[in-house]
Amino acid sequence: MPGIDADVLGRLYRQHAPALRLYARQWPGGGDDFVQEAFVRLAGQKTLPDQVLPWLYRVVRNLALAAGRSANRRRRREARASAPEAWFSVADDRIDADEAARLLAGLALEWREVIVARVWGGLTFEEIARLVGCSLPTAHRRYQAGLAELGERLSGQWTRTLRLPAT
Amino acid sequence: MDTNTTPPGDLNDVERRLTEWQPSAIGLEVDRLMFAAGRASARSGRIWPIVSAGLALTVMALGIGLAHERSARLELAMQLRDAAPAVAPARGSELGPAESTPTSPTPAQPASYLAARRALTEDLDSWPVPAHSAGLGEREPAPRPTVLTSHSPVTLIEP
Repeated sequence: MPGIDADVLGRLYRQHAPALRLYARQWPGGGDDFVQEAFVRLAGQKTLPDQVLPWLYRVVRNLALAAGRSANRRRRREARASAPEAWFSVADDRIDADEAARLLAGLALEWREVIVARVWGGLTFEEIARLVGCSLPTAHRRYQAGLAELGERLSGQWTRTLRLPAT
Repeated sequence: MDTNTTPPGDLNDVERRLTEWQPSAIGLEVDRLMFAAGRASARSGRIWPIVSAGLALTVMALGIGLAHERSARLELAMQLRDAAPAVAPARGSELGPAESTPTSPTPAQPASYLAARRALTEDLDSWPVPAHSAGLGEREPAPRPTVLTSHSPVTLIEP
């Protein structure tokens, strides 16, 4: 690797790869491959980009969009549409991880990607607007609309009940 | 409206719940990434195979061209060697009867090139003697050249 130190690359990967993979999974067929490809391209850079996190998200998004145009990925999207992968390892005490993933997957893509980039990716709204290619108010509006929709679904959702130990 | 940073206290209930959801990290291995990055960096230098292939093709083309040129040159040399005896009489016949026969009366000067060439090819004894060599004893001495001296720039000293 010519430019970027392996320790820096490893630290960035451990720190951001889970959220980045969650972001990649918002597109059909997206997942580990896109995240790894993004970090491989980062390793090929001579120097670290000024804003490495938005850079990584942009690479993942471009890869996902390019892959989504291929027929092969479209077939995979149809196969996975009804069964999202394990997006979360831990949810909260009122919902389990699979149900959380299903709820998030039920949102529109333009809302989902803003929410994921903001909540789990930690990007600012300006960075999200540049990433998505929309204006700052639009990015903020999509975020609020997605949260509102998710809140409605969460409020009407089945909540986990505490299981009493069998006696 | 500062939309870039949202303090934790400003998070609504939904946001607070979402931050508790942790994205899965299962299957994300740093070693796999490092291996892929190293392999990609080793694969990036594709210019040298292209340059090597181009040079190899150039060498092959030059070798074929040189071999062809050498064979053509050898063939031409062989043709010239075979044709040389046949060409000489033909050249003599082209010169005509006046030059092909040595006894033919040719109005050549004794000191001319033609006479000298005939003497070289036929008989050195018949080498034409120059007229001034023939009468060397009777000839007057040649006048000495005038000499320009340093103290008399305008007059020439007669020897």
